[in-house]
Amino acid sequence: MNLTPLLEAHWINAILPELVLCIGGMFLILFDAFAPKARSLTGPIAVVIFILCAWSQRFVAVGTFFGGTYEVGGITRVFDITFVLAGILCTLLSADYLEREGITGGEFYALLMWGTVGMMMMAKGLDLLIIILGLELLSICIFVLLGFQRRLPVSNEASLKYFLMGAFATGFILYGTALFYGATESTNINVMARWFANPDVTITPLLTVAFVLLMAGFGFKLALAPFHPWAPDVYQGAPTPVAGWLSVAPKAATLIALIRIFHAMGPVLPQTKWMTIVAWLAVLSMIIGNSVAIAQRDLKRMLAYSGIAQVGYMTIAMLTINEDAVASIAIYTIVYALMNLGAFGVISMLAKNQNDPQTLDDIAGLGWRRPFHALALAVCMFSLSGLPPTGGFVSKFYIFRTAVQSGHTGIALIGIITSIASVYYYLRVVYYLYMKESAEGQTRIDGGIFATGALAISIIGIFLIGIWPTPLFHAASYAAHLLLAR
Amino acid sequence: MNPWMLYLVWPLIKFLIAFVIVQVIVAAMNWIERRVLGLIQARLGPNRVGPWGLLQIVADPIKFLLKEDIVPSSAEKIAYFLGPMLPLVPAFIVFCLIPFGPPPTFAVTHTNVGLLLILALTSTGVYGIILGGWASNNKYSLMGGLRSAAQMVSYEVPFGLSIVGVLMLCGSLDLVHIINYQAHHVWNVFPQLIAAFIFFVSMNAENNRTPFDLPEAESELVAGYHTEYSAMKFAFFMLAEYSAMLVNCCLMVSLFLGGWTLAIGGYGLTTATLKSMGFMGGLLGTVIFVVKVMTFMMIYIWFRATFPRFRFDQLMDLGWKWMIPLALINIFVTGIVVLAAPEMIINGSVVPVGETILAVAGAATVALTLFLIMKPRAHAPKVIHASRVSEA
Amino acid sequence: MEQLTASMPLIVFVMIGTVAVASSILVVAMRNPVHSALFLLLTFLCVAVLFVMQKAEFVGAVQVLVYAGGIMVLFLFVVMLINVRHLPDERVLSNFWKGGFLVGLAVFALFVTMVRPGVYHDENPNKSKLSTVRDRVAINSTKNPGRLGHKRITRHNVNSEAVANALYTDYLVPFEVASLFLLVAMIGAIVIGKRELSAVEEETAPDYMLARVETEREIKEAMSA
Repeated sequence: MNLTPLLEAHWINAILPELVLCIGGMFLILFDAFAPKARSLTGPIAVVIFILCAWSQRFVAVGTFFGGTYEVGGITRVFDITFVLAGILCTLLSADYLEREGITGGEFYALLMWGTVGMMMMAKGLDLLIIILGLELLSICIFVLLGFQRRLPVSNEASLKYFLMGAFATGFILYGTALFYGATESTNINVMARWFANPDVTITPLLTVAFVLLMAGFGFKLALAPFHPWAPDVYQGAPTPVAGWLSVAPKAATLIALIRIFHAMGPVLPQTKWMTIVAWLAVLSMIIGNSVAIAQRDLKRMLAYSGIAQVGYMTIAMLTINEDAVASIAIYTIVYALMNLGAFGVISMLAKNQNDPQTLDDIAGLGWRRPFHALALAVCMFSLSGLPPTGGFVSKFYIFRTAVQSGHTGIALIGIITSIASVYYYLRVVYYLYMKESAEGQTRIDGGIFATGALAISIIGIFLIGIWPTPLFHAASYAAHLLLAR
Repeated sequence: MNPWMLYLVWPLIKFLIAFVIVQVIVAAMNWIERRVLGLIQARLGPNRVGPWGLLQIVADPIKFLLKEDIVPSSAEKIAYFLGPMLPLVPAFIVFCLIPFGPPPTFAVTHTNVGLLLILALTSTGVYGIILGGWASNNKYSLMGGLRSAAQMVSYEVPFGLSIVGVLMLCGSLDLVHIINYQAHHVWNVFPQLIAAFIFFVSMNAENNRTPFDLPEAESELVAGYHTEYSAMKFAFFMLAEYSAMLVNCCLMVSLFLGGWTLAIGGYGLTTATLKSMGFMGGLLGTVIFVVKVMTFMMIYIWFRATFPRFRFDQLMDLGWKWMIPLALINIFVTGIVVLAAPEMIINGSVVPVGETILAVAGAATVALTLFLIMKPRAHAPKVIHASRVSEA
Repeated sequence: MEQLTASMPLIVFVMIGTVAVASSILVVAMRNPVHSALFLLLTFLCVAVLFVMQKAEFVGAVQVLVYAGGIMVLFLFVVMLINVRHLPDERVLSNFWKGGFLVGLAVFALFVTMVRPGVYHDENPNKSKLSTVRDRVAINSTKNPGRLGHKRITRHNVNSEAVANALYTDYLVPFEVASLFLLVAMIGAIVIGKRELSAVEEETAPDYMLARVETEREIKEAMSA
């Protein structure tokens, strides 16, 4: 038997975090099946597994693996941490939420973990095949997580809507990929980059169609403006912690995948109008997201539209791929994960029939009843609107500065103006929290120790990044430098 | 040579010869099965037509041809006609892919994914049963067809998985290569005992033979999917079933019992030895092959006479909870052994350590499994009482 | 004769291709689900033949094994279980057929013009597509004598081995994740589809299952209390 080394050395270290999460998810399912009495432990075990995954990042080998289809580097570590952070926050919030809603099941956390594996693959894949497979793994987990409250019609609606839209989006992405493969004769991003770097390359209409299809598909997944209509309904119907997770983590994964693809296309972008398409998507997202959010009274719908706008801001930075752009997107996703999951976390504690909308009236006067939870929501809202000294200010500032430096002043200006408009609806929440009298039959806030812990994490994180962002900046810039230096 | 001769005429001639031999065997099997069943069950079996009833082989086809061909008025015509035809085609094509003797003379074709193609073709055999059952527009037939579909799909998995271990040992999908490998090492049935066991069980299930004959369980479903078929159409079903049995026996012999060779560790009648004997050697190899195959056909009959039929849930339990996990474990262990303990050279002679380990472990596992399966259940499932159902 | 031999692949391609396209249209056109399924089967088989003609025997065999042998049987199984003999007769074309037809035509025209002729045509089938497939063989290292190094050799393209090499080296991660993907889909289907036992089922269910149901109920009551 010829035992020739077929794989790169340390390949197992390259996929260590994914392995931890995969096996952890399977363990949780089996634990749930064979120890049904110890079900209340599944949540804490899930958190431990996520922490193990974060810890395993220490042993990760850096480099390209599997014949150049899998790249592990600084930037993937930053994004891995974002995914794990989102996973931990969502798990902590769900532990109490699921108990209150009478949902049992280690499947919930297992699906969360496997979804995280999919996102990690999207972040690390140097091959469009891996990116698509990761995306699909993630999508299937999301379908199920959205429909987890099977008794609730809204939950079913959310799941079905995301399923139909997601299937369409995947179709677009696959079609675009097939056309790219036809044009560049490879699905490997590095090979594609070499093809695009060839000075003789002509931009055929085929490539433009491929790009449009790809952007349409990823636009669906990101909830960018013309492809956004699923977002509010899905967020509204989903179990609230899942909605928070969905609004954060998959977007981060899609963004890093897009960054890789755009970077590969870098040499030909100046001679095409492709980035104009992306710019229009960003502008539309910011305008539509922010203006429609003003009209919302349902908190989850409002956050959905705000999420559309936030993705618009991040897309501005992607118009020109350079170190600052990548670093600013990485920082923005981390901060966004903290603040959006914090906001959804407070909403998830509203103990009422989950089939009814959670409106502004439910949180009226909360500041005087539950000071800590109200404070958490207020901080998240301040951060989302981008007011100092929160992390939201820092990241938003960085994004707009990057855009201006790359010469996209006009779009950055639109971003800033819409961002100012958004202050209205974010602060309206704070107004309801502290200035409104609580109505009769007020909604109870039901937060256990885990959920409160999650809120504490997000508040501390927001302020930490807002006040002392330098280490994160350095780490992100260095990681971005490594990514783009190839 | 003219490419037309090489690629069309010669294969066709070889195929026709193989086809005729197979048909004779299938027709003879009918007589053999009835005689042997009679022997086992202490009765006579067909003994009127010709000496020992041998002419029954001729009488049956004549009867099938002359009988009235009934088509139920409510049957779905196209599917009803397609039903008996569909399983015949793959069953015949597969014989092109099986090497009966040392190639190239005694094998019709030779492809490097032969085994995979055979699996692919045999897996399409189920369509006839499903279609026939559905098109007859008869509840019993439909039940038979449905059971067959579920059974085939369930047992296709262990059927395919059990072969993987053999592939890992031999490192090829080519049946000729696998047979030569066995001649130079040891019959695969020893290191791959678990695989052989699983293969044999799933082969029985794939062919709807007792104890897995639920699709045509006489006492429950009249005759299952072929209740509404008569005359030649019914004969087609029988033909396809026996051809499929023959194919599976050929596979079993090629994969686990050294095919046309009769050698161990390179000593004995290997392919090279047979080839050196010229055409007669090839013929000898074919005879060895046919004898091995017929042995397994006898085991089929022996099973039919011996075992009672499974209940449907038992059938599914056996497939999903025993055969598939066992097959997976077999693959896992084989992989480890092949990688970790390859052949060792002790005192100058090659000792197949890995294969020995596999053989011992396999024997132990099969024994344990048989023990666990045969052990009477502590809690028999409750029986639904009719009155309770009506209350509910 | 020579000409006929040379153009044989083309003739077979045209024949099989025509059958494939025609039967795929009939899949949609048939009103009887079983007939549709049968035509789908025919399409799969034709596509398998096309694969074999492109010297991809492995893919062809797997196509038959998986699609014809596995998936279509399940399709038929479900169709028969529901026992739909004939779909109700309705108009085949909806009110929007003109618009739909135009859009379809436009997209078709778009792709016909966009796909530059020869984009998907490769002089050496499989070679460049599977060029990432290469073997590493252990040799005596030239740099440090006495130790093993390895070099890469491109190897003779045997079909199943080429596929296996690609799957277990370069595409190991997607290959393994595809299995995780199936696991997730299965668990997801169970999560979405499972239900509580009815009265009759409780009568017939085995004891261990009833015990589980009982514990679950206890847990739920404890949680709601």
